[in-house]
Amino acid sequence: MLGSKEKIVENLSNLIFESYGSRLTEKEKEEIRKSIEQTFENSVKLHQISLENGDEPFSVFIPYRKEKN
Amino acid sequence: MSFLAFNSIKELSDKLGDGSLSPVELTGFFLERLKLHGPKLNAVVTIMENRAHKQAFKLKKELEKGKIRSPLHGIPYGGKDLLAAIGAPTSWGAAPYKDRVLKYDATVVSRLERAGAILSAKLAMIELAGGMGYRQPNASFTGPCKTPWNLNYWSGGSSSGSGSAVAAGLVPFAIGSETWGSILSPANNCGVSGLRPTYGRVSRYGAMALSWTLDKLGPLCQTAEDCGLILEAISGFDPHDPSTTRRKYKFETVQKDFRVALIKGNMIGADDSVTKNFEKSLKIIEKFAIVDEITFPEFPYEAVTRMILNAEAASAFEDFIDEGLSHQLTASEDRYNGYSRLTVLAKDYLRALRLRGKMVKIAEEIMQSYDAVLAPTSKRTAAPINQEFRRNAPTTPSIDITGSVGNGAGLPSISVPAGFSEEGLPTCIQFMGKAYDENIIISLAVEYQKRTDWHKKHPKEFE
Repeated sequence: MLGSKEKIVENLSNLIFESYGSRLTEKEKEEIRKSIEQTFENSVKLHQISLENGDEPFSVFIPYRKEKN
Repeated sequence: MSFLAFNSIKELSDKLGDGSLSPVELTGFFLERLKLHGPKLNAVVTIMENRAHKQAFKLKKELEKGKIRSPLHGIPYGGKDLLAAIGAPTSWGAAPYKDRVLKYDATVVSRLERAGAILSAKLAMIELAGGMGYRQPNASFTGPCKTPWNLNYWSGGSSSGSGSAVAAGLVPFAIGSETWGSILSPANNCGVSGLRPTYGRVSRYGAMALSWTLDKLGPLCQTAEDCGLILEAISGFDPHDPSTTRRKYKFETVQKDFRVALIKGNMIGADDSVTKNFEKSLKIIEKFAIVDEITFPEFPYEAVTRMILNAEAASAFEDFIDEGLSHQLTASEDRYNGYSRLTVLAKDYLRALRLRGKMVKIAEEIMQSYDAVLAPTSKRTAAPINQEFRRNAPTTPSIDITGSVGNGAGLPSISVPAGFSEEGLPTCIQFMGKAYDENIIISLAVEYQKRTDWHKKHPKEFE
């Protein structure tokens, strides 16, 4: 993953505080920052496994036609 | 009549079939128990007296004419309060929705009605099924739900009332939901049989969505066999839920030379009582199954499932959060936890979905030679009602493989009681199977229950 953990977590936290900061206490903001940090750490774990271009998301889009009775 | 409280569905069905009991009497009996005991446990949101009585009278008349819809004809039940049902509010356990009425029946509710079961109560649940990342039992507008085995301890969640009400004999069975642990946790803490079906086996139409690719609905019952009966009634394709499989499910027990697998290192961090009871269970299981040890390779199982859950929950509740409704929730952490999930990046969500493809294949390959993975349902007994779970969490780090792989790969699992701790709290074991192998894991659980009587023990205060 490119970029420092601190900077990415700070930027993502600011994204939330920009939109919703007026509703949040300083303690809540700190908890949100910690939670974003955990998500970042999960993301790092996901990037430790390599994927091939053909490794598709394991959920299939199915074009829709209404079923005839 | 108190002996009826803990009867299996088969036992109740026999009594209804031979005329020694009517659906009206049985429904009245359980409605009284719901009224008497529900408040002590914080297990009930709404008692559906009118709907239940009306249905019971109709089913009684049908029985008198010789019509029996299914083994569930005349059997009362409770539904987790995330299921839409005509005749009661559907709160999702959340204060902002406590009076919200959805004027239709969830597919599960209509299928159970078609099978003759009688919806008698909407049962308590963790607010938004834990979708805001709760960390304490007091995370529902109905208060912390209690295990009937000790009212100072938590029922588990998020299908809290579904576990507690079945364990206390307030309903013969209940419907719960699981995204990650929400059927097995209350089954464990309340000491009842609980089945998490394969993803897509049961329609979620009319049920609150927390995570579209992880959510499952399933039963909590007195016995493993009852779980199979309920699954047969609620499973099947539903055009309203595109995730549902067209594979038909009919409950039948399977006789074979069973092979089950233990995950190496899976008991790390377990309570002494859980370990002791698990080892005793293992000796019993070895009488009807070959038991081997397996190893799951290093892989970010928890990170994959967690990322999917967080991303989908953020989307499912984006409007709820935008409108500021989370600030009306009960648990303080649920008021702000949802915000952080709004920052999950699309690339990370998609990477998790791509890695899920690898995870399901790892699970399939490792489990190929086995009928089930055997594990404790939880490494810990129920947490005290007034404590955060993390204070009660194991000090030794361990990976929740059965939870993360089981839910991430959409695999079925059944939990059954396997003993008690010194404090009298239940400990349970689970059989986790391959996709669509519900009959195999239920059969394993049935074999276990033939040789044990833990599922026949009931909390004295409610007998």
